[in-house]
Order: sequence, then C-alpha cells, then structure tokens
Amino acid sequence: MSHTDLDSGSAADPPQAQAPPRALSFWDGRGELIIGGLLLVMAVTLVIGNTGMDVIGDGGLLGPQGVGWFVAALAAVIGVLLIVSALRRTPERRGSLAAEERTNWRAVGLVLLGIAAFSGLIDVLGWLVMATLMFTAVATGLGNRNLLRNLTVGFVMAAVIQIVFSGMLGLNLPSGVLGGL
Amino acid sequence: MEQLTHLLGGFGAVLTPMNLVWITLGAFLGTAVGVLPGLGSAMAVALLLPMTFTLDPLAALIMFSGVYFGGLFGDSTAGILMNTPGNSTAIATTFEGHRMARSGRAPQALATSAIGAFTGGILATVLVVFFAPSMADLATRFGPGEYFALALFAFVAISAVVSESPLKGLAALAFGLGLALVGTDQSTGTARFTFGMPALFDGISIVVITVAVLAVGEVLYAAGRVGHRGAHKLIPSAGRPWLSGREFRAALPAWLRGAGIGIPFGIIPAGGAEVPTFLAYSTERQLDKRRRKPMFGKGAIQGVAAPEAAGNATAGSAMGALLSLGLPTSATAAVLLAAFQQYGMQPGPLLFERNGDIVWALLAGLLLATVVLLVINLPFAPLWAKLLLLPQSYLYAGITVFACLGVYATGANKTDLVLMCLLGVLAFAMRRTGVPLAPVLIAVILGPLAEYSLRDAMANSGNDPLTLVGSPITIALYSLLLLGLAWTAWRRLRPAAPAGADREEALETQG
Repeated sequence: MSHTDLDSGSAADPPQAQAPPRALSFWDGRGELIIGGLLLVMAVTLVIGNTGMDVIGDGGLLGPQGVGWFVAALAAVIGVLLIVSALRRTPERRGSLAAEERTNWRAVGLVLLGIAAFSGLIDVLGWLVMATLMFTAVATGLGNRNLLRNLTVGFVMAAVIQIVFSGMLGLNLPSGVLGGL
Repeated sequence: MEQLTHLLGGFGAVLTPMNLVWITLGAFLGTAVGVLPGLGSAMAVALLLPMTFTLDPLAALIMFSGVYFGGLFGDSTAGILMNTPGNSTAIATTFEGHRMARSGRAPQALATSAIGAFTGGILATVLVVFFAPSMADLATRFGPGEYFALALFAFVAISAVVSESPLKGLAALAFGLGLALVGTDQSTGTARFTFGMPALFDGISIVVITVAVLAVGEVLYAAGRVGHRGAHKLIPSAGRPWLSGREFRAALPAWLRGAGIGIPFGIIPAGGAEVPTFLAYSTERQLDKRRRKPMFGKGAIQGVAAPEAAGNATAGSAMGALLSLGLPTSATAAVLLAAFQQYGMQPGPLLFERNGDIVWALLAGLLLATVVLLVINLPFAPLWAKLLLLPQSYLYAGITVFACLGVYATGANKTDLVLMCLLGVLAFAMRRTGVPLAPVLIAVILGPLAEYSLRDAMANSGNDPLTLVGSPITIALYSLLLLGLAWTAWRRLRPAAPAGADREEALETQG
C-alpha cells in the first residue's frame, strides 16, 4: 500500500512543533495491542459461530466448520504473539514508535462521526442532506476550517451526483425529508 | 502465430469510439490517482467498481486496466518533483529522480520515468499475449489439489515472505480469511457466522470490503495525520523537455534491465511492484559503482529508468497471471478479480475458452492504454503535478462521498454501511500499526478458492492427505514456498540489506 505523505493542505493547521519528551503511557508504542485484541475477538466469534452452527447434510471431512476452526486457531495464535511482542518492547523502541503513531484523534473522530451519521440517517434525511453533512465533516476534520465554503462545495457535489446517478444512470438515491417538498 | 490473429480480432473489438473514450478516461484517472500521494490504483478501481454495474463488461475492464497502468505512470511525478512518492512503488524512483530535479533536470527525470513505464508495460503485455494462452493450457490440468497449493502459495508469499513483519502480514491474512467465511457454505448450504442476520446470508460483499479497507481506512488515516505532516516544496519543471541522445543511450539499457527484473515478479504474489522496483534500483547502483564516473547520488538517469520500467512490467505480467491462472498478485489485481466476478466471469484457465473475445480485446486495450498513457504523460507531466495543489481536505471529503455512494449503490441496505464503518475502523487501526492491507484483500478473494479446493480434494481422494502433494505441479509449488520461507529466514538473520537501509532512510527523510 501507499506510504501517505501529505503536502500542506490549503488551510491545514501549521505543523506542530516536536512534542517534548514525556513519560510513556501504557498504550504508547504498543499499537499491536489493538490488532491482537481484535484478532482474539474474531477467534472467539468464530468459535461461538462454529459451536452453534446448524450444519445441513454431510459436508465431508472438514465440513462447513473445518476451515472456521483453522482460522480461529490462526487468529488466536497470531493475536497472542502480537500482544506478547508489544508488551515485551523496550522503552526506547516504544518512544520512537509512539512518535510515528501520533494521531490527531479529534480529526479522526470528526471524520468517523460524519461517516457513521451518513450510514445511520441516510434513509431518514436523504442523500442530499447527509452527503453534504458528511463532506463538511470530513473536510473540516482534515483541517479546512472554512465551514461555509465546505458546506457549499459539499452541497454542489452531492447535487451533481444526485442528478448524474438518479437522473442519468437510474440509480435510486433516497430523497428523505426533502422528498415531500 | 494463433495469438496474433486473436490479438487482431481484439483490436477490432476494442477500436470503437466509445471504447477509446473508456481507455482514455481510465488513463486519465489512473495518472491522477498515481500523482496524488495517498491514493492508489487499487482504491480508484474499488471506488469505480459499484458505479460500473450498468456498463458493458469490456468497457469497464479496459477502463480499470487503464487505471492500473496509469497509477504506475503517475506515481513518480510527486516523488521526482516533491520528494513525496505518490505510492510505495515510486520510492525507489524518488532517490535519483528528486536529485535530478534538484539539479535542474526535472523534465528529463519525468520523461525518463514516463518512457520507462511505457517500455516496461509494453514488453510485459506483449509477453502476456504470447505466453498467457499456453499458461492457461497448462492450468486446465489443475485439479483441486493444485488450486489449493496455488492459493496457499499466494497466502504465505504475500503475508510472510514479502511483508515487513511476518507476524503483521499473518494478522492481516487472518482478518481476510475470517471475513471470507461469513455467508452460506457453497457445498452444504449451511449458514455460517451470519448470527441470524439475513443480510449476511450472501456473505460480505467484496465491494464493501475493498471500499472500506482501501478508501475509508485511508481517509481516517489521513485525518489522524492532520497537523503532523511535513511541508514539501514543489520543484518547478522547466527547461528542455526532451532527452538528449546521450541520455537516451544511457537510459535504454536500464529500461530493458528494469523490465527484465519486473516481469517475473508479476506472477509472484509479492504484493505489487514494490520489491522489483527496489531490486531494479539496487542493481543499477551496483552497475554504476563499476563505471569510471559513478553518477549515483548525483541524479543518475539509470536510477529513474530501471525502477519505473520494473514497476510497469510487474503490472503487465500480473495481468497475465490474473487472466491465465486466476491468481491476483497485488492489491489492485485482487480488486480487478472482483471486477471480473461482478460480471460473472472467472479469471483462470477457462477464461480464454469461455470469454476469449473479451480477453483478447482486453489485451489489445492494454497495449492501447499504454500508448495513450505515454502520450498524456510524456509532454504533460508538469501539468499533472499541478494536481498536487488541490486542497487535501476536499480530495478526501470527495473520496468519502464516493465511497459511501458506492456501498449504498450496491445493495441500498444499512448492514453494508455499518460493515463499511466497522471495516474502515479496522483498516485505520491496521494502517496506524503498520499492518499491510494487501493480504486482507488476497485472503478475501482467494480464501473461498482455497477452502473449496481443499474440501473437494479431500472428498475426491477419500480423505487422503497425500493427494495434496500427488502431482509434479503441487510438489513444485510447495518447494518454491519452502525456498521462499528459507530465503526469508536467512534474510532476517543477516544484518540489514542495503536496499532495506535505503528505504528506511527514504522514509525518514519523507517524514
């Protein structure tokens, strides 16, 4: 995959000065803990799904469950190994990793909120409203503080897509609250 | 020379005004996503996939291939002019390319890279035209045992052999295999891991997975880096926009050597063009050391020519592996395989028999796309660089809108959107920790093939495990796999390789 390196966007925040060295919290430089945890969750889900599976007919030696057991075991082993390697990492190495992992959580949260709101409310509020709001949330999250312009650009884009896809390609986008107008 | 007749037929089918429009559109889109850092051809094809349902299959597929090749044409522009490679495949080009730009030879660097990409793409595609049919013939003798070996080979190669950390590669593989299991079991009709949700009976749509992993995850990752980015200065590309005869003579052997290094890598599931571009770069550097006047470090034209040719040669032969064996060897190839499946075609040995007309038209389209790409890249690379002035915030906001549109358009149901959010968060967590994404896609695409081939092999042989190593092809594949693992172990126990050191250095200077 790509190594993202963004140039300075038009209205983005100025690059922050190097943060002063501070004490490492438990999570710093241990990003694998999350990946390992998610792998364990997946392994447990696969085991629950396999034990409660309503198997139809005779599936042969492995049946519909065989590969499920294998993937559960693989996920569990890899998950545990990742967690162990993260816990045994030296403080120096963790410090340099923590610098790489530095994340702007507010920006991530805003973008995620926009996407989640779109997913939850698209049927109620319709494409035009939700696509505009999501565009604005993402653009603002990525550092563009000109709200009014973000809303306008988002609205124009959403409207053009609605016209092209609903009007010309016959794809049905929900009109939501605006449908009654 | 049966192939030439088929290829001429392919040109006949592809040379319609409408198809030429699709090829050009694909070339433009591909170059654009290649130029823009953070966007890749895999993401572009994933976003286009749901919007091309209504298109004629040939039109969509030639456009996608144009995007695939175009991504590798455009990726070096940002690297050469700004020292920010558009993609990991352009890192090797960036070392010497940016040095050339700094010494006032930016147009020459851009031209060398465009001609290099052209040479690699054309040579590899011509080889595919001549060899893919015989490879497909060989593959018609594949039984379930051979297919299982092939899938296993792809899994281990992409996750353990070429990945930076085998543990992280395997973690990505496990996520992909788990996602592929959801849905109705094809051989017994048992509902698996659907937890009573009817929306999951057909499995998780491949469109949802690719869009979430490649687009939503990327947008979240970019958001996480707001305020932590370094500014880069764009070096203007001005002056004599062509190569002198001497430069051409210096670059020509490097283009050919690069293509030679890249072509074999297309059929190995090494996750794309990154490994061959680095190999081509270090080969040129070794050769340069023996010259009377070494140029490496001062902007050597060979250091741009060889990696670019290698990158596109890999993409060309990856198309061959995809069409003839059904084996995706990079993330983009995996998404392309999903595109074939969307149109009810299964890449692999039978494709040449069942959909021969489309395959030959596609190969003819690839050759045309490479020419179109050269035409729009060679003289206009400085114009493409203007794309870098686009505000990142609108770019990523637009990608998000198209991602949601695509997922909503495929099924118009809420489950898909919720899954997109969850998988997007997973992809973000993976990017942040340095877990590769390509193994997820390869596992999702090849997981079912591996599972059902294994179960068929067991059923056909009365549960005899020895059937898995019962043919010369399987024995060859497993031996290759063991060799790859041995090479990985040896490489890791040895002190850091020179190419690897260069790369870390590059990443540091970028950040």
